[in-house]
Amino acid sequence: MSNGTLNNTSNVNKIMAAATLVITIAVLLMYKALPIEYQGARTTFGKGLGITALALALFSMLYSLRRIHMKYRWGKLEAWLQIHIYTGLLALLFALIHSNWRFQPGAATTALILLFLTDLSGIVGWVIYIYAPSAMSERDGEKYGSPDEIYARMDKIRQSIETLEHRIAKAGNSDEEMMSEISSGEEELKVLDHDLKIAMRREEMIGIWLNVHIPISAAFIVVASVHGFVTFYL
Amino acid sequence: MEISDKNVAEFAQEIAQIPFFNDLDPGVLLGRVSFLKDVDREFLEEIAPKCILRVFQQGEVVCHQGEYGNTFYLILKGKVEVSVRTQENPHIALAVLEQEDFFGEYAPLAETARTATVTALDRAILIEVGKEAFLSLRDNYPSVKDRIDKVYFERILATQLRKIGLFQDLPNEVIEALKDKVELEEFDRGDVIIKMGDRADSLYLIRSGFVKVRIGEGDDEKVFAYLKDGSYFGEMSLLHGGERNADVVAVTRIELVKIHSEDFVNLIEKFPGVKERLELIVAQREEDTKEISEDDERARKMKFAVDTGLVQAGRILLIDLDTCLRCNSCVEACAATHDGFPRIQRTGQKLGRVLLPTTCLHCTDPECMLCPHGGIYRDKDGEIHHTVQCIHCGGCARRCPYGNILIIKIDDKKQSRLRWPFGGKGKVSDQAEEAKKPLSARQRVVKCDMCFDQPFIACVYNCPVGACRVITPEQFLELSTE
Repeated sequence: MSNGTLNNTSNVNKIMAAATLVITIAVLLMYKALPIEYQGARTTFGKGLGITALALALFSMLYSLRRIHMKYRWGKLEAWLQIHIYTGLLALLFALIHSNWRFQPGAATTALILLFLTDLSGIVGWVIYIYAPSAMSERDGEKYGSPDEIYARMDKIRQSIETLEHRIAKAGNSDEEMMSEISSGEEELKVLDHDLKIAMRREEMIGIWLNVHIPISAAFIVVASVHGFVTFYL
Repeated sequence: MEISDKNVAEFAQEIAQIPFFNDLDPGVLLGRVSFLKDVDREFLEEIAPKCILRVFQQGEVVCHQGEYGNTFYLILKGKVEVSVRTQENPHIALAVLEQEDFFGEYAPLAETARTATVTALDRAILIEVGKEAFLSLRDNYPSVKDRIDKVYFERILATQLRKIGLFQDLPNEVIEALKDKVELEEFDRGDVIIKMGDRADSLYLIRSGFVKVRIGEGDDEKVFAYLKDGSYFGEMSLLHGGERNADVVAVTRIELVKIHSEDFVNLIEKFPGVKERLELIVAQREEDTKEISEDDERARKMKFAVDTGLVQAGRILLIDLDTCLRCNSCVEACAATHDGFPRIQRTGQKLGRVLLPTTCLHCTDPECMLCPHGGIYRDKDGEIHHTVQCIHCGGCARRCPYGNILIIKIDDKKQSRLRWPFGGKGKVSDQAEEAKKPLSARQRVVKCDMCFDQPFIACVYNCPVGACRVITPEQFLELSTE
């Protein structure tokens, strides 16, 4: 929270960005420096890159595990997200060099395409994460408020309806004014229920890309594993 | 027999096993303390289990300034030193108390933090009287009450005058003389203490609570400053003469020490050092006021911080809406950490891009603590927590003026789970059915205490983009909310 702003670039982000850059340059230089006969996917160097790419992708997927387990001290989720992003990008780099820029039909190319699509959807998500929140914030016209806010308003209305119903039941007769208050409260609840659904849908929109990202990444792991199995055991 | 921490009833029981003392009972034992000599034996027997014998070695601290405690002490043997620390001076000795003296009366009476540190000067044996026993003693015995109240009043004034940096160099006799001329005044939340345009007739030292300095009312209100205990106001008009140039309004229940203008003028004439210090402070305050009057955002933040009670908080939990993904991780993490019942909601006061979710402010004057079931207490650090005695009636939630205590229906917790990223919709359509259930049926009262018993603050720790943050009120006033 320096300089009185909320803008925050975490240290993990900076470290990961720098490390990714260094690793990218180092691997590319190494690749360029190698004689052509050592550059193929089937060479030791190539296989090493392939295994590293799969390991990075698997490590990147640990983010989902961390995301679900919230009560354990496994490190800040913010740091995990940064690690997830950069290891995902590095996995693609390693896989590309592993392919030696040759794309023949088969499990290897399919895995590479899936990894590319995973990263692409991830980058789309990253961009959404950066720009969508400010677009959704109130200053830019968050008409409905957050679902929690709508819940809170609904709760208040429900409580006052209950109080009125309780009073009517106690008095034993129905007061017209109270009845009209109850019916207007119920009307308002219907409107809020509608708003709530819209607000929830709006909030879910921000994560809709995950419906593409998660299945593709799962498919990548399956295909990449098949490719690895075929390479080593068949 | 070695005296150790045990209540007087147990101690009496142990002594009674010695044949010579077999007629001793707790009432007789307590009755030998001169402070309690007018109190009935039956009453003393009743309170004996709530009175604990404590032994402090030389240099050991009995209670620290600023910590919350609600016990009262009687000195049976030994000496203790009462001291305060201020920003300017870490140790100002106020008094040495000896056998038959008492201390610690302020915290249980005013339900506030200890105002001084008490340290044993030699091996001190004390009786620690619990709050309930102390209050019932004071209520039932007028002679005890008179003595406590007289000392309470004198000590308040002496401590307060000493704690103000302005008077730090004044000789003891001047403070003592001033003490007899000042008045102690109390105001409720919202009371106007100083009205703009009124004739300046006094200087106020804040004993406890918060005030805001403002110009205008309602939507036109502009808050220039908030002041808390240990600070003072009313000095500008006194120094320059003339009328008050702003309103001063109580933000919480407040206790003030009032120094009349003629006494104050006499004082600054005799002690030019006080006047010099005051002139520097006035110049600084005038500069701050000018800055705020030219900076609308800062003024708006100041008003927001005062109106929402943020100024009372030690730390503030906020969500940056320009970064927040609305993924609900904060609420889910909170629920996961607290038995499935989330203590925060992504709702609350908003200022620009900043959302302040429902978080306990640990108010100076907490209305939630008027719980008849003993379901809520303040720990010695001043933080307020629910206890196991809480019956989840929701009384505290209704009393909290900031709406920071939540009542969660047992079934509601299902809604916060797995809504994202797996596309769950919660139980939105069941809301109407839920409403038909009686209000009192199966609910849980919770409040965010920033995970005081956890190794991390769950929502902050589990926010994927760092939108959920904890800052201090001072940082809040400095940050840009636009």
